[in-house]
Amino acid sequence: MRELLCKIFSFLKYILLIVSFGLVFYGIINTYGRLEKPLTEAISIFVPFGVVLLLFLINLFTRSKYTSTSLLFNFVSVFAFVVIIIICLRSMFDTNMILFHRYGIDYNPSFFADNLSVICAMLYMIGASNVILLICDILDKDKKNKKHKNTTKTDIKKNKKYLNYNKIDN
Amino acid sequence: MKEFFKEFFKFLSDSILIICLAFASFLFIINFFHYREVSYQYNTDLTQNKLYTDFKENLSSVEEKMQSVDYDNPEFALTAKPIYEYFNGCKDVLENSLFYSLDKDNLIDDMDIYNMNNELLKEYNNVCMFNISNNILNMYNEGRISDSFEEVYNNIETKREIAVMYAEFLTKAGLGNSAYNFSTDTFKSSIYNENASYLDLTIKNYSMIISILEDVADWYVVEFGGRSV
Repeated sequence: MRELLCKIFSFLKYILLIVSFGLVFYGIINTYGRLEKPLTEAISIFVPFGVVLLLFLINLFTRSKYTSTSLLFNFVSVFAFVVIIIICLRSMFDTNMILFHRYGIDYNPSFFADNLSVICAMLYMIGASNVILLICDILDKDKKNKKHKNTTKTDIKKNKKYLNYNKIDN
Repeated sequence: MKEFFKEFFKFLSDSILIICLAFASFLFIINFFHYREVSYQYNTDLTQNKLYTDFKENLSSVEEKMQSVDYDNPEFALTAKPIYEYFNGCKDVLENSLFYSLDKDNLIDDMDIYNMNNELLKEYNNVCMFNISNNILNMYNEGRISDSFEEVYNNIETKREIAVMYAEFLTKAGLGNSAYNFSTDTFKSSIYNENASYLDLTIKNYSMIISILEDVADWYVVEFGGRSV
């Protein structure tokens, strides 16, 4: 059950990352477009998405054991992206908030902007956790390599002993 | 040693993830509660609200006073008749307002309160409160300004400023319903229902318009002769 959930969340997090990035990008275009500010000023908001995407790709290509088998990591990633999507959808569709109607753009930039800092914080936390788990992976691989070297040495010694026994028998 | 570091890093990663989970859970729960708060509709029967019913009754009595003057008299063609037309314009606008038809529906939300106060600021401030008194003053040149209206004018200006100040406060407060601290009595842990409170203030604001019209009507019947009751 645990492995199944891990696999499901592991798969979902890639899709939800792209969806949440798309919605945040749409929000930034609306917010900065209304204020007539250039999009280059919003780079600090896109950086955490880039960092998380890069780390997820590294996980994928290195087949990181710790990130793929950590239920907590995958669940928290999925949950954080779901919350980001909820916030973006409320900014786009919740007409009960009066600011939605005020600017005539059918969007509530104030509500969206109020939540941006927490969105970036969550993404940086997921990124930091991912980096730490990759370090664990590296440490584990070093240990495995050393173990593999030690076992081959003992194997050679065993084989030599066996050969010696065979010679004596003969 | 490596085992120790591995365990330590795993513990550190889990700690960061738990903090992230706390942030995400907080945002999830507060968004759920906030959605319930902003979609709250205040259930009230305005036909039982004395201040609201007085608004309509007083508007009718002001109309009766204004109509008691013989404004069709040719002597009053340039004075009483135009003043009556200004009043009529204000009355028509008020009778077609969102506030006037509010008692038809028992459910009132934030958007209604915002729109009512916005209308007051953009329309009734001009048509009813400022226009009538300003046009009366300009109707008489300096040598013929009636002392009695000057006193009424000062009174009207004070009331108009109060109504505008409260309407500005209520429109700004309405815009603040996007903030997470907006509260009604959806969840009984909150003790202050902003929706109900703002509705009361809005009704008082509109009563101020009627009070201004009453002052003008009282002066009108004294100046041009008519029934003051």
